[in-house]
Amino acid sequence: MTAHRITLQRDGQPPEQFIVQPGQTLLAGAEAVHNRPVPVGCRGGGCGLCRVRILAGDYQRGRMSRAYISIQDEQDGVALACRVLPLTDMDIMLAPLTVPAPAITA
Amino acid sequence: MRKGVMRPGHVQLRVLNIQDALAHYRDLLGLIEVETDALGRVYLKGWTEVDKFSVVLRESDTPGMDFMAFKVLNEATLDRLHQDLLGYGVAVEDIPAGELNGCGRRLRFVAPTGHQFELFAEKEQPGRYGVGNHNPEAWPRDLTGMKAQRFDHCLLYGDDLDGTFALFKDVLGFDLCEQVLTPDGERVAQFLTVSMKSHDVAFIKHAEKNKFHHASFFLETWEDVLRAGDLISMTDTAIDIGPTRHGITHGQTIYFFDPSGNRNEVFCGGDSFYPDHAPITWDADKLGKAIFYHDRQLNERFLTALT
Repeated sequence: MTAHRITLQRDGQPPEQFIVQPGQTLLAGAEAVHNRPVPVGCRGGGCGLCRVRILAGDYQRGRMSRAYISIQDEQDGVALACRVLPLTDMDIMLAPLTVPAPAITA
Repeated sequence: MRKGVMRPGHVQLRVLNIQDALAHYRDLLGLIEVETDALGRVYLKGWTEVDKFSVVLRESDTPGMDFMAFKVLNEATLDRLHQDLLGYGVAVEDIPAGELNGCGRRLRFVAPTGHQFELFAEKEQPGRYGVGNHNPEAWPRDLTGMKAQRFDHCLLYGDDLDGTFALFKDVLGFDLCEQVLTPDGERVAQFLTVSMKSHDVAFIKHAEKNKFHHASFFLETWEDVLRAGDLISMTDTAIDIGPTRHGITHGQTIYFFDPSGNRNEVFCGGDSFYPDHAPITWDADKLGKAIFYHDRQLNERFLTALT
């Protein structure tokens, strides 16, 4: 078991890298980074906030909500980062769903 | 005016993995596991609840809430509410007795916010877990985890708050205990009660229908809420926020997530409500303080992490 280096590709900005420790989910690795580069929601595959597109790398995926990840998404490498266990170094980018803005704001 | 609806009766939640969910609700929250039905649904209850169950877990690939149910006084009340719902123009689905083990017939309808609700009058009543009804001891000694006492309420997100409020007030006899109003008078949060509790169900304005924010469980003391926070850390359970206090209801609270991302709350305290009380109003620009009295600001996740 080794740690894996994750490269987060960002439009118009340099990529950001973080390390995922052995046995850690993609989201847990991102959450350990100072600026939390992936949005953190329920951490249980239910809310869809940590939706990412996987561009390269091998991984295992746990069950995640069909409300946010369709079968087509799954085939296209779109996943919820809280349910992804990296097996190699990975390249990813954020893939937020366009959800309606909250009627009230923080 | 009250119409014979008594209290929240049960909530059915969809979970990604039934065994993981059972471990969470039984071992961490400390709910009592009652039974598993032929469909594989797991039934649980808080130890102080007299009815057979109050939480039903169903495995699904989409977490969230199937329905929340309220218990009414008796079958005659159920019949009257059935007619009242139809008269109000609400479609009602009859769910036969026994569809949930130990529960009588249920009336199911969809509120304007898109959520499914049910009414029922009969449920097997084995009494409080471990202590019963005759010379009962203070508490059972074999409780685990947070020792949650009862399923207390749900907070739901949806679009048509006015329509749902009108239905709950005019047909079901709920009162408005607290509300959040924008400067132009739009109600963006409503806390409804059918009892002396500050809320039995609550709604927050949201663009989508039928979203689930949390199911809440009652604890006795602030010390219990702190201890729940300790258990959340010990078990590496996903936390949302707390322990803290709400401005709305003044309850003391901690929010966390089940293993499928459904939010839970355990809380203690909360104001009492009588039907002659005027609604308590919070201005929308004080929403942060209204929800989280100490931080005085909402975390983004509270508004966006929904199932």
